[in-house]
Amino acid sequence: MSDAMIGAVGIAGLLVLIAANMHIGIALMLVSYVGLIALIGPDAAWGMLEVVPFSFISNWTLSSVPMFVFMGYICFHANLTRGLFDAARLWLARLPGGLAIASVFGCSGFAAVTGSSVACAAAMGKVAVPEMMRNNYDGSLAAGTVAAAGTIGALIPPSILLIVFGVVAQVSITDLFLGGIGAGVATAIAYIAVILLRVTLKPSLAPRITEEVSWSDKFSALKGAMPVLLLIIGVLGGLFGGLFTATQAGAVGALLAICVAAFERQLNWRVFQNSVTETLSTCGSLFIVTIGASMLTRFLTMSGVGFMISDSVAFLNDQPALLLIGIALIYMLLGMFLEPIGAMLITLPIFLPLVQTAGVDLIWFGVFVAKLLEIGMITPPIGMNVFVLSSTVGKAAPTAMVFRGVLWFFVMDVFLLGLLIAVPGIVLAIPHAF
Amino acid sequence: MTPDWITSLVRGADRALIAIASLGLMAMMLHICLDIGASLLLNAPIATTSAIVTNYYMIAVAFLPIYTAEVRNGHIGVNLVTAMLPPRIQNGLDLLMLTLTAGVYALLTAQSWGQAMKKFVVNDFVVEQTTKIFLWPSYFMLPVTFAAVTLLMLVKVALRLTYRMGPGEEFLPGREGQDHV
Amino acid sequence: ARDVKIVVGVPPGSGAEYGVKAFGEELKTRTNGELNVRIYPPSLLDLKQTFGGMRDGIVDGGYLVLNYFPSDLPEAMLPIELAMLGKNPYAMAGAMSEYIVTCEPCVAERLKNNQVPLGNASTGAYGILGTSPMTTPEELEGKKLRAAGGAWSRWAAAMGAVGVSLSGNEIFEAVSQGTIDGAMNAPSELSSIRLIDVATDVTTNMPGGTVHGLDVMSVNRDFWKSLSNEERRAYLDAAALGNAATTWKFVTDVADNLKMAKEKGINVHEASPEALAKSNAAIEADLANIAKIATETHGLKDADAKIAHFKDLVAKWEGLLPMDKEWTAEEVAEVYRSEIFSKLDETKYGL
Ligand code: NA
Ligand code: NA
Repeated sequence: MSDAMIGAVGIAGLLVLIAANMHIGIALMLVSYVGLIALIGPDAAWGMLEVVPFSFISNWTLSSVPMFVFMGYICFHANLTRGLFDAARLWLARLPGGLAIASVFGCSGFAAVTGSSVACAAAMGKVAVPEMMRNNYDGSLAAGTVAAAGTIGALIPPSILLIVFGVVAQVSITDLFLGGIGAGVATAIAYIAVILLRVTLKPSLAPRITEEVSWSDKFSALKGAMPVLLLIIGVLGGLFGGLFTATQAGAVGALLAICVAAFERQLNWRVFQNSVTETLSTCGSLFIVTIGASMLTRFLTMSGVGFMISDSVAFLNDQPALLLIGIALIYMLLGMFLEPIGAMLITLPIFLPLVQTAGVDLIWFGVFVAKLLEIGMITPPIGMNVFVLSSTVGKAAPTAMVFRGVLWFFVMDVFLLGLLIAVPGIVLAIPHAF
Repeated sequence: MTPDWITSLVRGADRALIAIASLGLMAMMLHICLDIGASLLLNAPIATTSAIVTNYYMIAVAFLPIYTAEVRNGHIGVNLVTAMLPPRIQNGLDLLMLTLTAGVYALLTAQSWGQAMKKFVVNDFVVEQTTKIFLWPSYFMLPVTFAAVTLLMLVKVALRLTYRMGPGEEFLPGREGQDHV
Repeated sequence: ARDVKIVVGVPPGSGAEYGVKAFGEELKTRTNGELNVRIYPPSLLDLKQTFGGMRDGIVDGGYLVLNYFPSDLPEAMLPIELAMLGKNPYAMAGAMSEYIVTCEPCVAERLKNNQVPLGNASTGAYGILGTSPMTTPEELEGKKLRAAGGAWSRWAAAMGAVGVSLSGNEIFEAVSQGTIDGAMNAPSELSSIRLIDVATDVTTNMPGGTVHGLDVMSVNRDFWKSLSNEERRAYLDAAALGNAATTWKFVTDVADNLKMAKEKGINVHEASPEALAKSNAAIEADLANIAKIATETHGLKDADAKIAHFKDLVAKWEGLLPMDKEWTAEEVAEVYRSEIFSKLDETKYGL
């Protein structure tokens, strides 16, 4: 069997194991180990298993991941998230689909304190969806909106996806973060347009809220959003103002979140303990996937399958737009099934040299890839955001119904991707301004 | 029913590993913030910060909770295909995957133990700027965690085989909306 | 014909990659196509994983920065700690190569890790790439500068500045946001980590110092044993070019980058005489520290004699390869070959 054949068989084996419900991280390691034995023999494969895990995790830039995850959990458990949504709700309730629009605002705000899209969807889902259901919103609109808007969490900084991209591509995390702002805001605006369009076409989806809200209530609700805003200003301000680096920003954010929660009298032992345990549990399940994916990358590099794939699209080098569309299609296909960080670690070594040769800006490309992988979070059959929303809401929103609600946002996303390719300035304007 | 002594052992190990990892998480946050403070206020950054963060705190935070995630079935998997199979086949497949997983963890235990011993023998260290920092103790966190997870998986297999633990049952409840990025 | 698997664990375009490519062509010619070098990217093994990867036979050879492995290679740390002697990269690579392959414990510690050392390469001499002029003792006072290791951070402290540890991909960010005032690096890093976009001032001749623990040619010992005597001879002769070409690329990149910097309007300075005098005194005084570090941290014996030996080698090589001439990689390789590699016995060395 040729080396490339071994690589292909390995990928097939991986898909079988994942379909059989083996944990992805373990499946990745098992396939890589067996594959490496076939390629370079048992001793060398054993050596690979030894050199990778510790050295891969012992990475300074990666250390911001647990810190940003921790910051997000503190905000959620200390109810800082709710204040954000409540303020948006009172100000926007009277618009068509006002609560749904408020939840997009809520997600965008929470996005600035959490690094991940599932965390964003879960946190806002617990707060916003019950409120929408109480006001007789259509279940698929309510859950679909939050599942989709959750993806903004990985675009607006901080973003774990962008951190990992920066580690692999060796580009500035700060620039990636700045680029993510444009893509995140564009996504939020586009999603609000989707809501307005849907509710205008079919008003029964979101009954108008007639309850009068006084101006004094509106302004006092803003106070509830203050803690999170303060946190955002503290972290992003210090980061872009040169007080600390993007890697250090996670630790500052976590400490600041604890201080803000304490100041708001929302911090107690239970809140603290839950935040810590859930952060660790997230890290445990997250990092083993990244280690597994990093093993698979080595196996594929050794087998030469990567070279084969890149050779097969390399002829598009002088056609950057076509190359990017090809890459987008591959990511959307992978995104249907794969976990985003794993998908990124496996593919970047193949795609990075290609887009570099084609003259594509790597900051733009990082944000583009993050956007593509986030679309995968809401596409069937495996759409983590959809699953989370469905389990948060319960029987009122079965998975199929949430997928249906998400469909509209997906169509908008495809349009957005085209826009990002046509107008790179949406991403690059902010990093270039600094 | 799962015998009580096994349950308490499993939970005890969970609490111990979580406790150490929590210390790592807190220390990481405080150490980095102190470094920033010292750099901004005193113009004297703590030179060893990144070496200690990457070689100790990160290892604790990334590896020790693998056990916790395994106890709560918090690991990332895809049950869409298996859910469509008849229950008997589902159970059999589940048992097979558990056994294979135990095998992978056993391999990781042996490998990381070997690595830790190598590092111990050469007294592994780095010199960060002017300070010598011993690294070898950190390497032992890996075999400890992996051994605990291997045992846990074997216990699960044994309990399933003797019908004392039902399919899909876990020692501790998972959390809804588990964050998987 | 057989493949020689060599991993270069840094992004494409580096001096190491250039050197390995030149080596590959040379080896192919010298073995009539029998040995064919195949270069693997960092997605196989990164810079730190390469050490274990080469030991375990995942690859036959690979790019190591020996500085990262102090507990495995204590003997190699002594010449590495003498970083600040580095003014002439060709001489430092020659001195380091000769020091390592002729020092029995240095070879032994590599063999113990299942590797065979085949010479070293060097970066360009370090300068200061920063956001303000740093040419006088006053201008250096209190400045935060990225330091690549202990030697530079002790130098910074002696000059009243502050050495900061930062990983390579963080330097740009830290300088551009003003978290630090500059980086002590070879000017070749201006373009490779994009400092050229944020630096306003470059000091070219201070602090100096080279990273000459670059190791692009070492091989797995089992692989070495599997070669025939003729192949090992060809490998040694080609390795001379691999080391020379890597160093040549660094030297050339320094010159190109300084030219680019001037075109971009960056101020390129030389340090003031007072600063240089203070700097030289600090470097001389630091030799005592290095003897202490070699003894206490790395557990070496006869540190003073070894330091003296390495200093002699540096002086000898500065005579052989003076910087006032424009060298080609081939010319440098020829000197390495005649002075070092031709003297290694391919029927015994490293077996
Ligand atoms: Na975010
Ligand atoms: Na999907």
